[in-house]
Amino acid sequence: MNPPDMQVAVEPEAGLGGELPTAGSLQAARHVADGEGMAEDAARRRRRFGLGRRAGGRRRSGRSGRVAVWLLVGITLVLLLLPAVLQLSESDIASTPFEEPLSEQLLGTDSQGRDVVARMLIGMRTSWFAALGVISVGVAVGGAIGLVAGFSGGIVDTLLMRLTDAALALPGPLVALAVVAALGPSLRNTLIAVALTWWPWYARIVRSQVRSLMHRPHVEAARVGGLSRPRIAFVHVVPGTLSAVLVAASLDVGSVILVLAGLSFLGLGSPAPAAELGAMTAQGLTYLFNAPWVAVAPAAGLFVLAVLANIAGDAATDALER
Amino acid sequence: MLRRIAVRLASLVGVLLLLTVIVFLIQQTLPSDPVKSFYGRNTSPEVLAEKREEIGLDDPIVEQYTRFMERLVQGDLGTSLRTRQPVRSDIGSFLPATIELAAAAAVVAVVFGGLIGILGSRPGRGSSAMRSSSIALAAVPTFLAGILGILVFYRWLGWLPAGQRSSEVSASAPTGFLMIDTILGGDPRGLGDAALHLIMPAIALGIGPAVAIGRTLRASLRETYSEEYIRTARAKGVGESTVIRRHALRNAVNPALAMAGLQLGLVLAGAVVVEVVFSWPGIGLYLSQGIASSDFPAVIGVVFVLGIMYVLVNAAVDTVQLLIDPRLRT
Repeated sequence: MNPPDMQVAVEPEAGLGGELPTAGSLQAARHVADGEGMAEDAARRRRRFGLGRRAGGRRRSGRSGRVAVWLLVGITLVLLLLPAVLQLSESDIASTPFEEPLSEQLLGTDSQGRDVVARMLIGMRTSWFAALGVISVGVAVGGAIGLVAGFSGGIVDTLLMRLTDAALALPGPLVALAVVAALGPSLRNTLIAVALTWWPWYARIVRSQVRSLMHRPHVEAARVGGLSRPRIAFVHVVPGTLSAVLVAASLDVGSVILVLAGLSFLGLGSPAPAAELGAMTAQGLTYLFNAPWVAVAPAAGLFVLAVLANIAGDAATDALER
Repeated sequence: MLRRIAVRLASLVGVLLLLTVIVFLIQQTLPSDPVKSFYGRNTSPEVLAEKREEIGLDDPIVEQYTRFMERLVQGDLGTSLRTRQPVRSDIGSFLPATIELAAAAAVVAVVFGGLIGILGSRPGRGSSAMRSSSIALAAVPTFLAGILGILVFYRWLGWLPAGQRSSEVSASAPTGFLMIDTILGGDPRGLGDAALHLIMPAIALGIGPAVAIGRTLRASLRETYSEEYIRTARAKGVGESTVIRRHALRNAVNPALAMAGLQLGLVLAGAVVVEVVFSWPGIGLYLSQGIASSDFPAVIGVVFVLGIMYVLVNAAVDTVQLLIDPRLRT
């Protein structure tokens, strides 16, 4: 992605501020703004502040971009390498059941004498890659729908966006829950179900980006130049949509981690003995008062992972937006 | 204005129809054979085929959907495989507990969200601390909040009860809403008891939405503070609290309301997890028991009911937005 493309990827209504420089006239313009503009504005805000973790405008900085990249790469590497290097196993019996933390194992053992730390780290690895997988699928599906809608316009656009709006109006996690329950509980089915419900926002973002990019001089030049439609779409339009989609996607990692864990907590993940943070917490609930660490450790691991993902998402937003 | 609301209602109907189609399709894809699981594995194939035809499982899909809708409109959600009771009556008896919990969580979310938003929007100190703590709070899994609450406030401090809705099983429950029943029954002790039981689950469930609402409100308040009419009001010497209440909040509240609608809908989904943590006898607990025993009619029934509530809450919030913000009406 090169800098000019990032410049292009500004929200459509940003043009308003450019034409009307003073705060007073801006406000006047806002009152004149038609209903659709307001609705889009509200939708954008929902997006940014709802699942998103960003509040208030801050200036763009190169540092937060690096922070985001290092965090994402760092989490991935640590979760990939640590269990492998330490040769952690999710089912090995390490000691007697309910060994207290800091005695022999760092965080004690669970009801079957398995090392809680080992299972927690493996569970974090599962959560992390599962979330990245779901988001990639969501971006691919939503991006494709948004691209087709924005690029074709007309009836195709209307139909696809109606579908997207309807999908947005449904409670994603609940629909995913029903789908997993029907397909049969397993990690793979959970991933499919959540990915099925996690595309509409991306479709909307890509579509609005594509619509505004279509009128940019470089796209019109490409069209006048007689380039083929796929070439215009993938070479001249898609790169311009990337930064907005990446911002949205990076903000979603934490949410997806939590949604997946919630489904696993309800018994919709892999069957035992797989180490999944949600399922581990649910199993630990039985012994909450005698051995609280069994339930708290995986839930805390989940929290740490989600916080890191949120910080990375926040930093990525800082770097890519504005 | 009326046209807007009409359009909104039309789209509401569309979304509800989509929900029924999804639920229907999910039922269709069930890998397990509903006839077999109901009549038992040892029934002969001929009898099964006969029963299948009797129920109409061999009919064309559109016909089946029509029949599904007919039953749905009559409130028939099938029979639970676990309790052997109609799913509708099961849900009916568990729903009040869930609504009570969700309503309490909604109060927590709106009150704390408002506080976070208004306090966080003030210039100066605490702004970046606010930002970091809201990043952290947004990452707390609902069940972690619940578990820590139980350990600290029940196990260690002994301040609050954990689990169930009350210490004693109340004999008369005309509405099923404990808070209302105890007031109606003139039972102040029971009311206090029910309220104490409600505190922890409601906070565990409401804290995430509170953060989301708070951040939205904070951002939109900040934007509003830079408007000229705020400067004018301040220059006239209007007190700061009046500036916030009468001038800023009214103009800034809309995005926060939209957020609240979304979040209150999500509270319904989160309630399922919280009910499991606190053994709260609502439809979430019923749902999770249904998952554990592969009770698909129960699972799908609960998802359907929660889905309808989600869609309705969002539609209601949208309408409220139209009512309070004239700029949206044109």
